[in-house]
Amino acid sequence: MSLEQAIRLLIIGIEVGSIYALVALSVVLLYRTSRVLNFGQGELALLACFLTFTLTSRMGVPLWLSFLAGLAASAVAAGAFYFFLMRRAKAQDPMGLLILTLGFSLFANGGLSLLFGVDNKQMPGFVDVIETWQIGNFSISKNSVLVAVAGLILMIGLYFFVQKSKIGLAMRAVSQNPEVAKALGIPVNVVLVSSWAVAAILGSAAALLLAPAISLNPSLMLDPLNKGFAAAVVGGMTSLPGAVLGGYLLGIIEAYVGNFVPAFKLALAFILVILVLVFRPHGLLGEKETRRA
Amino acid sequence: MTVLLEAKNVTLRFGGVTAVNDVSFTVGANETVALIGPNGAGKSSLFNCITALYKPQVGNISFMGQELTKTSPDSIASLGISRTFQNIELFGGLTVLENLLLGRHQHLKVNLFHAMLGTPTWVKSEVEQIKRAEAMIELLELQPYRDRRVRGLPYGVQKIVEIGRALVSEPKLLLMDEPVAGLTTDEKDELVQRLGELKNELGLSILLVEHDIRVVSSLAERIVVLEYGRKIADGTPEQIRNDPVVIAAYLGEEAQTLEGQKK
Repeated sequence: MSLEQAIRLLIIGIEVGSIYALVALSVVLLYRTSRVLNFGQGELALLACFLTFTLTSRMGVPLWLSFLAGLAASAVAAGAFYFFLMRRAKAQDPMGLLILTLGFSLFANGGLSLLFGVDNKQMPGFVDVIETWQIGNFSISKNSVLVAVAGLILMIGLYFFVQKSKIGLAMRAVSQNPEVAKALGIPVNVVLVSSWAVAAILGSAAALLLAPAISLNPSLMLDPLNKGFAAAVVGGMTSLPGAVLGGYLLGIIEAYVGNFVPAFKLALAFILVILVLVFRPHGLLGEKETRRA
Repeated sequence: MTVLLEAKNVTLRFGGVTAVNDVSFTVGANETVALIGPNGAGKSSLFNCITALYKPQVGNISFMGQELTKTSPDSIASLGISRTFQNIELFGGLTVLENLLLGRHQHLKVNLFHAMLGTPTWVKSEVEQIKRAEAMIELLELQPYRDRRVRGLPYGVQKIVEIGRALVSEPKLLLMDEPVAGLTTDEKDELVQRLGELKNELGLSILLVEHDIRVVSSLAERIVVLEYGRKIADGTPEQIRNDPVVIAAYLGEEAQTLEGQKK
């Protein structure tokens, strides 16, 4: 493999890895605060994409404004889903809640298909996906750079939000001990609604960054969501830095392996998951679960 | 003395079991009251009624005129009641400072709008919260642990941090569930002395549940004794020690075992 090709694959890996990392972050954020996996994450992201697409391509709203509207819509939908269904569900065991999100996912996918159609749509992006920058005789896709940089900015933003803001501190408190957080007067419901909203924003941002490079249709998020879950497991379900590491790692490994053994690309993520679960169940950076007696 | 907390005829049942049976007592301003009694006497159940975790079927608990039985656990703190737990319940993954900041939560009167725009109101509030937390760290001599994660700290230090988190909210009433449980004798003495000082310094009102009779006698001005969910005595440590009913029911148990050991 030439150096040029190695770099090209690395850039693809980082681009795809940013998408995986964002999805993994949304998975981990929710898991940490609500102890639940949300299969509906993909549909929340789809909602953001379809809305952005409709606003921009059909109604002529500026892209950035549609983009923000899409993110806001999925945040509101996620918050409402938690507040009205998850929180009130009589089945509060992890399995019951998991099935609830699965049901929501399938139902929402059907609903979105009905509303927006199942055909392939060309999602507008901030840069033309075929445009490149030429550095010597080396060309680099503008879209790849945009995705990688936007992903990085979102992750840094999330870090400051979780580590430095009051609501981020409250989120970490609720994730560690909701009962005590309640006793301290922390409005646990507000915190949980916010974490669902933030998780939806992360997942939707991933989808909005991804969609211009491929076509927008109701199965857009199927693969990224699988990979995002895988990256979250590899990184450690409870670790936000782990999710980022898992995402990039998976993206980069996939890019290289996919280049030589394309047929194996899809299975790769799950080989990693199996290895992690067998040999290091708390993931690369996750903390070992210590349960109180 | 002004009555701060008043429980009236509180009865709590779990199915067929009556955990708390028609209990009434008060805690006055600047007063320390101890709830004692053998295991299963209903101390913790009564405690949980005050923090609104349990809803008694009968009776009222009022705190400065507010009815606690009709409120929710997360609004107790804003009324001016904070608590410590039997098995320290800190946020282990967070630092000492962060734990204390969480104790300041109900003093945050700024909304999301201010926070997102970073308005002067927000900055002022933020600075104020950190200042209060720092002051508490200083008061409790926790400076060396300020930015350390709580999880790795010695048990005795964690106890102090938890008390700090409860006090930093400037409560009118502090509830303590077995504050010296799990401490060595030396640590107990130190903590009792600390609490005594804090009490005088901050003018605290404390309601504590405690087994250790030495601790209770040195901290509490008044003792309420429970047995099988009923209140069997209420008075000064002196009165309680000489109360024949208490001796028979509670101290008697120990006296008997002591006699048993002698033989």
